[in-house]
Amino acid sequence: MAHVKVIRRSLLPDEWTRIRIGWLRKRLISRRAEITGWTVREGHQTGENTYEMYDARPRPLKRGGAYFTPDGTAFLHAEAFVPDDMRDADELRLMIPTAGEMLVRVNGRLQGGIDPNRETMILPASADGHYVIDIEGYNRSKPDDDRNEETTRFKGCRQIFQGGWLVTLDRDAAELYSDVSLFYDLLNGKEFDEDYCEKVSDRLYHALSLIDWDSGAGMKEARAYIARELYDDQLYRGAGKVALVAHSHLDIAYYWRRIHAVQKNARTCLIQLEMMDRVPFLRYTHTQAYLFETLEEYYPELFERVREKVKNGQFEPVGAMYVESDCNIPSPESLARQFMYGQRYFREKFGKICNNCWLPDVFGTSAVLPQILKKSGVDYYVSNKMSTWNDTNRFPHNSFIWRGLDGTEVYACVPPTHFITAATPTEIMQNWNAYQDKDSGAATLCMYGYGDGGSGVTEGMIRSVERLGKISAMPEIRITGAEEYLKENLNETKRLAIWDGELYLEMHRGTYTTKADLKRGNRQLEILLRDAEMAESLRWLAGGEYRAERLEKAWKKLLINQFHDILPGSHIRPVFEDAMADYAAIRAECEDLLGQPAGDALYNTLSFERTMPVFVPDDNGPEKHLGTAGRYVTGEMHALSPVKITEPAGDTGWITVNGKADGTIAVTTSLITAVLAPDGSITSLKDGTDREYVSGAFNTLRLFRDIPGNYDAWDILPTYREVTLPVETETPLHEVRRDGETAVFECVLKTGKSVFRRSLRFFRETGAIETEYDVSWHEDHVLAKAEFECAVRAPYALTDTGAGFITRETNRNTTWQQARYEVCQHLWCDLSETGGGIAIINDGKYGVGIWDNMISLSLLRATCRPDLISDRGEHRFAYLIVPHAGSAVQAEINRMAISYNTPLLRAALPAVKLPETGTMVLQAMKRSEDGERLILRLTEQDGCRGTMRFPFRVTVMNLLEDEETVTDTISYGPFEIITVAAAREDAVKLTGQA
Amino acid sequence: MELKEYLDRKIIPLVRADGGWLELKEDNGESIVLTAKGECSVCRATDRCAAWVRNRVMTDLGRDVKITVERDPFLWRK
Repeated sequence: MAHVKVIRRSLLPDEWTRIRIGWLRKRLISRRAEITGWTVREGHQTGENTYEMYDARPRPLKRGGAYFTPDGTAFLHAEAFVPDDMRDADELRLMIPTAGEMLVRVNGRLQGGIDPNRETMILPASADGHYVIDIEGYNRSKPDDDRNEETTRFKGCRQIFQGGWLVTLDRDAAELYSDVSLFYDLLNGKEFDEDYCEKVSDRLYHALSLIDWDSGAGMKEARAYIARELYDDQLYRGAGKVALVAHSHLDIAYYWRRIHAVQKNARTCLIQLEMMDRVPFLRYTHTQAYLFETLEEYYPELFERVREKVKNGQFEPVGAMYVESDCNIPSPESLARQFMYGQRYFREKFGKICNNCWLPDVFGTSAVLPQILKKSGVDYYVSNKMSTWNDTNRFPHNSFIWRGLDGTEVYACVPPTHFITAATPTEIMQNWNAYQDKDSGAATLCMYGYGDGGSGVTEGMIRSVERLGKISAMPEIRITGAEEYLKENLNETKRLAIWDGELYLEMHRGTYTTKADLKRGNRQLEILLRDAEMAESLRWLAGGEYRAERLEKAWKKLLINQFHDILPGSHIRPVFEDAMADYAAIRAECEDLLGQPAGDALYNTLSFERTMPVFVPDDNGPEKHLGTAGRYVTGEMHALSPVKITEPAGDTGWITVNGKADGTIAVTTSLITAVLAPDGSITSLKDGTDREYVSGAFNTLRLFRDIPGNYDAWDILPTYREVTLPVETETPLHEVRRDGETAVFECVLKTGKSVFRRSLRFFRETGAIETEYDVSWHEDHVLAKAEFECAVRAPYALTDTGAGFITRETNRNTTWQQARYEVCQHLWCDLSETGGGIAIINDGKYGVGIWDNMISLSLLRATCRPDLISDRGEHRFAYLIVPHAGSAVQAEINRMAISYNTPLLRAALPAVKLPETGTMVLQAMKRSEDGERLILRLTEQDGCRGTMRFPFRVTVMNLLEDEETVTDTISYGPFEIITVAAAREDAVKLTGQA
Repeated sequence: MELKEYLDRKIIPLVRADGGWLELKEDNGESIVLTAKGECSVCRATDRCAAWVRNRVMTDLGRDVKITVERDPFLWRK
């Protein structure tokens, strides 16, 4: 018989439940009185606490009128008089539905926050029923204004004022609403037993049927029914242990400029502080010493309240860092400073350091971090990203031990769910169900509270949390703090697996390359700050001043711009402009600290001798490097010493150049022979033994169509190689100059929109070949790469981390290798077999793909979201192609890379005679924070062991400059970072000036 | 100050600082056409925004211009 499908046209029970929950929501407000007489004065924030006002005077603002402006701040004012029929209310609230972010003062006191996640706030008791309300509002609460469907009606740069109201809550309705919302979420989340859900569905339906929707009677009966039928039910038992930690993720810049983070932070802290007063069990975690600093400076009254709550344990500083920085691109010294400034601040202001590193949103983390953590007093690392964002492989752990490059181990937690949850039953159950380390004995961690733009926990979340423990089908819930959770659950009593190596995020691979100017600028300033500190230290040893405060400010400005949505390039255009302005300021400050160059004096700030030619700027120089006139010099460039330049011989016989009929150019030096193609590719590259290094397209510029979609700035898709775009040779490669040190060949390549001027530079003293680019870049959705098919058979490549190297498999056997088609490097990468290989040394390019025999160096991207013109414009950069014998370590590639990236310093400074440093590299020289000693930070970068013997006793310190041991002999292991402090009178001996 | 310069210096940077993107496409004297790109291309409040821009132009330049907004969405939304 034919079957006719029945289409049910009447309401299903769960639909009817949903509708009535909506009716219940409308009953939450029991009484309301509109506040009239609002005025508004519009302006635009120009600094952390400064504004440019559009209106000389406030103007009236009525309900339905427009307020806010693009990137605007609106100052609202009104006086509210409690009507007689609300005078008996035991609690009054201010309600303003808004898509903006409002910091509210009542009678002069900062009282609360209103935003798309919370349209009401509690007012203080008032004897005379009179409130003076002053609001500072920022117009966008992105992305929360996207998350809230109701506020999308009136959100935007220009909003419609929905009015302000004095309201009272119907307590019975509010409590019932929390009950039914909780169970309705549970019902729809599909995480619970089917039979249990049927029961919940039936009981919710019946509970809501007890209410007279005309009069509102029956709320208490409905609550009692739910308590009896659902909360008291013990038939359905849950399993597992979930720790709830309240948190608010706060991006200091993203879809807003950094200046707005000050108010976002104040609003977040205020909301949580007010909640803590009413909810004794609330324990809230907050990161970033920088944000605490801004609170202290601009909202001191809030900061004092935070201090009180830190003392009583409800407000918990976590994270240990100055900002939640990117952990791929900053140098290890930068990461060390994040912890040094962060922890010293927490210790000074709150009496203790943080035991944890809290980075919910970081885009992967370098293998150098565990050692830095441990030496900064941090035993735990927390980040959510890999469990919720990996696009190929499921990261296999949530609670584990993380072993870093040098072997240091810390405990690590990658919670199974996002760092922004509302503590609903479904989210908590998802967390427990996805938790992979149930057998370890550790509870899983679930963060709750709104974030990205801050704001944190809501009253709704608190009501949810209060009830969760009453539901027998839920796991065991523990409301706790971060430090307590980590100590209890990640310790030696738990069976935890070990993850050895970097924490690679299988996503956001584009952030190694997006915003090339930031990457390059950050690297240059890390080096410039190092040199400025060194110069300042040597002058201090000689009796001069050490301008610590200026150096600290410069460092902090750089650290701020290493935030995980600034340095990676995942931000709107003005954030980039702010960062570049900061970079210019840091550079100016360092140059001012360094002072005017003393004649022609040059200084090698490296702790090892330089052996390759160095470019020295000189207006009268014979050639240009990246647009700057100067010359390449060689000579005596001993470690930490003034440099003695050798005058160039002038003889150009070191190189022979022959143009061929096919358009190629054959170049021969005493060290290499090369055949160059008209587009600047290298078709053959041989060393003195006639060993060929090229196996295909080598030093070839390739352009790929790059359209990741919504996550444009963030991602490079695995399919990026599908479409290559044509590049035309406009001017074939030709020789442009030659002298006793260098010979340069240039070509011009172009597309329909962009021009690439490529120069290949050969050197008398080295077999390395420099390729320099001067690019006019005007593409859209294109990824530019320089690719090298090497005649090398290597199962592993090496990539630099800034403090040692890691090995990366070159095969693509499994999805784990396949997912790493784009990875992060620092100064160099290398592909070598036993006898030799190719290294590529860069001056600011962090994204690279290495597979089989290919090195694919990412040069530029052209993304459109969030910044429509990201990276468009002029770019200058260069890299060195280094064919070498032996391994990268034997060929001293790392030292070559450091030399390439570190200019000689124009300064007259004394030589420093350090003890034999072996394979250790001087990472930093500075005065200690207590002003008493000289700090030397050295890193072992070749994977070796050794011993350093000082001529006097030194103090071994951690990265916070806390003393550990006193000795004159330091034994170091592979990739170890060691900080020693020498008394001033001893340090002076190193300069020979004692 | 010319309208284009005014928009480039005073208005468009504010929109960009809000995550949006506007460009002046045409200036026909009494009316102008703005292209809404980026997040502005999907915004529901462009009318209100255009009204504000019109008001600012009037206040600062003394010109009353009718503003039309054309949307140019992201590539993957076209």
